[in-house]
Amino acid sequence: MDTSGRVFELWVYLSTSPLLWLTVTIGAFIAAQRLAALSGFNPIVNPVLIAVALVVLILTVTGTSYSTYFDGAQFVHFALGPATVALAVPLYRNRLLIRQNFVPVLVALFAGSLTAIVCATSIALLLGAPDSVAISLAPKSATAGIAVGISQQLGGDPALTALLVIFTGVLGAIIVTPLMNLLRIKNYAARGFAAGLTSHGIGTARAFQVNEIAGTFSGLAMALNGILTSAVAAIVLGLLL
Amino acid sequence: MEGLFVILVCQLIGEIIVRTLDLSMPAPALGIVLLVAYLWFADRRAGSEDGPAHTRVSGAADTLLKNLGVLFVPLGVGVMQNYRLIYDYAGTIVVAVVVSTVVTLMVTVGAFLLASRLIGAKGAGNGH
Repeated sequence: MDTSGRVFELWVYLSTSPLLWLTVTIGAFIAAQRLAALSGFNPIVNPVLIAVALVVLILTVTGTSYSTYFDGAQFVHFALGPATVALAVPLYRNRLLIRQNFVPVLVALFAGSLTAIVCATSIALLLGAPDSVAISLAPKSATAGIAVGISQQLGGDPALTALLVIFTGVLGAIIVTPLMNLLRIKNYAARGFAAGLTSHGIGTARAFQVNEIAGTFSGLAMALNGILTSAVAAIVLGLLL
Repeated sequence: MEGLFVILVCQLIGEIIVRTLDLSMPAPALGIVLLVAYLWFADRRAGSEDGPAHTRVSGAADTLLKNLGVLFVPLGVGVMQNYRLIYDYAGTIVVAVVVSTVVTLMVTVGAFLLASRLIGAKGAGNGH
């Protein structure tokens, strides 16, 4: 057999093997992280978004289906569940901060969480989007591992929710600092809490760049909003739809 | 390894509860509550804050959380299957996300400040 025949045979084998697509997923993310570092961690250059775009490009060019890709990528995907559960550890570590700020944390959590769900869903419905799009939008401020689960259980589109979660995260991370400066808010606990509640992990990464206290409160808000959104999303959607 | 085991057990119990009671709540969300409860009770029994249970779990938890970003990639790529949905409702989606993100940020920060002021508490972030 000639060389090109062998290369083709190898490709036919590899392109359907989980090993290749697992490697591509991790490689794309590392490349995206390098790009983010080069940009000085500008929130617009989000590594998750770039990695997704890179993988989609590779799959399209090679004509690979999503189900073939997912056979390999599922090994990475699986860890999302345990990684979400792991949010309990920073939450537990900062329990004293919650106790000290119990009332503001609780009030801001309920106000923010309900606003996020109601606002996104009702705008989509008012603009004539179908229920599946409105449901996919509802949990977008929660961390991805939780938001996607909610979307799936309530009849949304999990993949659309995943992208909306990232979009909300990136957008919030970009506007939080200018918005808070414009509003002349100097309380970094409040600023961080808003960042994490609205923009989960991506907002928290941004908050830690600005201020240590903001970052800690942002992480708290992310974990608490994940729990609350999963508890109330079904009820709120039941009232809106 | 023990830390990962504890995390997986919390998720597993969460999964069992969600399925048995037919809750419309993702198992990992319940897993967070279970893991906080475990850390609380285990360390309380050991009689030390940030005690052995916290030490056991924190290594695995921190590793998972540090690499959270890459775990979203397979889900995000899934959008290539139904890009039509985004294409058809792009305008609506952008408006809904932008408006709700700005409003949520403002409501949350406002509620936090108002509540702090009402109870007259000195929040950890005051005075910066």
